[in-house]
Amino acid sequence: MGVPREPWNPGHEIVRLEAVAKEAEREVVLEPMVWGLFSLGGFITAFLLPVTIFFLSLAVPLGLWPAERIGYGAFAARFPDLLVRLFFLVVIGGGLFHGMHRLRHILLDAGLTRADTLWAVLCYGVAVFGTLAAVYYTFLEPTFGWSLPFL
Amino acid sequence: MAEREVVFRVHRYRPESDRGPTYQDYRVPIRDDTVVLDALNHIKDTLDPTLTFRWSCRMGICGSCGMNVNGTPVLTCGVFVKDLRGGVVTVDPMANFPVLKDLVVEFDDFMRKLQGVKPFLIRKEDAPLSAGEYRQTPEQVEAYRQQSMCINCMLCYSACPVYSRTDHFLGPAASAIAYRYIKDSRDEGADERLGRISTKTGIWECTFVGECSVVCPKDVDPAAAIQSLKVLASMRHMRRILMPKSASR
Amino acid sequence: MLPWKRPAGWWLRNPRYFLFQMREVGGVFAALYALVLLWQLREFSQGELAYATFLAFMGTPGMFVVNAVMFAFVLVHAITWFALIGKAQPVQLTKEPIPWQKAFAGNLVAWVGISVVVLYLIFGGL
Ligand code: SF4
Ligand code: FES
Repeated sequence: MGVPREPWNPGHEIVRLEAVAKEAEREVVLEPMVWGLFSLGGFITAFLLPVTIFFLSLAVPLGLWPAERIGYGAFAARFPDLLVRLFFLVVIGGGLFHGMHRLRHILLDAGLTRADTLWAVLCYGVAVFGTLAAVYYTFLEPTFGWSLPFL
Repeated sequence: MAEREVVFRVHRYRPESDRGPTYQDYRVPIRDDTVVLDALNHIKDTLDPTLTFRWSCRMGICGSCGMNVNGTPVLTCGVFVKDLRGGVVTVDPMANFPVLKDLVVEFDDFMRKLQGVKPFLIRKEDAPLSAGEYRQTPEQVEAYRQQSMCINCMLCYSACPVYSRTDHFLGPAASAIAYRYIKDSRDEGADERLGRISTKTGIWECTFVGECSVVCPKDVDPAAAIQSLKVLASMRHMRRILMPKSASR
Repeated sequence: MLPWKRPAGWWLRNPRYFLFQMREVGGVFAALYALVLLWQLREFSQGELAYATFLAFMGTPGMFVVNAVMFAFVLVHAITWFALIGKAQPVQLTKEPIPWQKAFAGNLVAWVGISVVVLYLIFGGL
């Protein structure tokens, strides 16, 4: 259980302000930014996601809604509405930035701290890419009819 | 008052002779009003004078008697033995700190971090003495009173799983104290402290487990203070990116 | 002489750590469902047939269970989030800080209201 640490002089280390000032580190750029997006995403998902999952994925199998309420026709009728498209964009982007940040920290908490750079690239990469894809499907493709073959 | 005997399993470590920590059992007579610290003092006074631990005030003020009792960080002067569950009381030194001897740990890491957040009033220009004291209204005191109650007992560090796994964390109490000064109307060092907090060894590894606030004997709620600091620091960061001019003031 | 450190431990050491992990996992499920939504938009853009195939797949009993689990975890996330955000009040809006229980109750009311608004504006009402 014990973690030896050397060299070490118990209780003799005197901490001085000048030494602390010399240690001054650079501020990180990424962390405050991803944390801001994480907490914004937390608000978005907490307020908007439960109702979304319930009506898009559970209401029909539970027999509360007829199947055509989520069918192609119903979706196509509502999707041109700017608000509806914005809603999907916000929920997807918020969910990804929130969840991927948490995933990274779950991995770190599980002790996989060595690969932090990898986790950060993967997690925020998925979030950024997913959000860009959501922009494409909500605003570019339906409006301008662009098509990207790989998406 | 009825006396009964309780077994105390106490963590022993003598760096001069032991290769690693061991446990030693003591049978201690307990009354209803015996606290864990009393039991330890009983051991030291009558059973084994070599047992080493810190204490001073016996009334939850000085913050020196913190230990892990049955795995939970507590002030031992504030925990009645009769309230503990299980037949054996296990007393460990606080987790996450190097052990000097028996139940005594070393806090240098915290002291360094505490100094890093400059726990004193920072003024751009000190008012001359003749101007008198800096005055505050009761509401202005209320803004930071909760965090100013910290007694540096380190229970929160001992409880924190994030501090346990990384060196890149300022830790609960130092953060709460930074927040305490930022919220103080007399202080003008908020930007400096938020800068310290925004470094790699700042607060970004905290995942709001909240255990620090559960064990804190003074209801400082360091977990909440850290979240507020994150909001402040990331707002400051955004402002610097979007409006570099106004932030450099 | 070696100093010995005792780590605080993790995961299942006490029930609060476990609850904490459930909360964190709930956040990850939010990202998973965001990917489902993204996929739904993609299939929608591919036309009626692709969208019908997507719906048929989402309608299978297995996917229903997956969706129900995601829903449960996202609910945990939402409720813990409402409880926690009241604790951080860096910018004081009122004279006295709002006690977190009050902020929690307020959040729940707002949540119900927002959900109804979303139901009518986005999903076309009951
Ligand atoms: S915040 Fe609470 S637990 Fe932590 S050192 Fe201060 S008084 Fe002790
Ligand atoms: S002896 Fe002072 S706090 Fe316990």
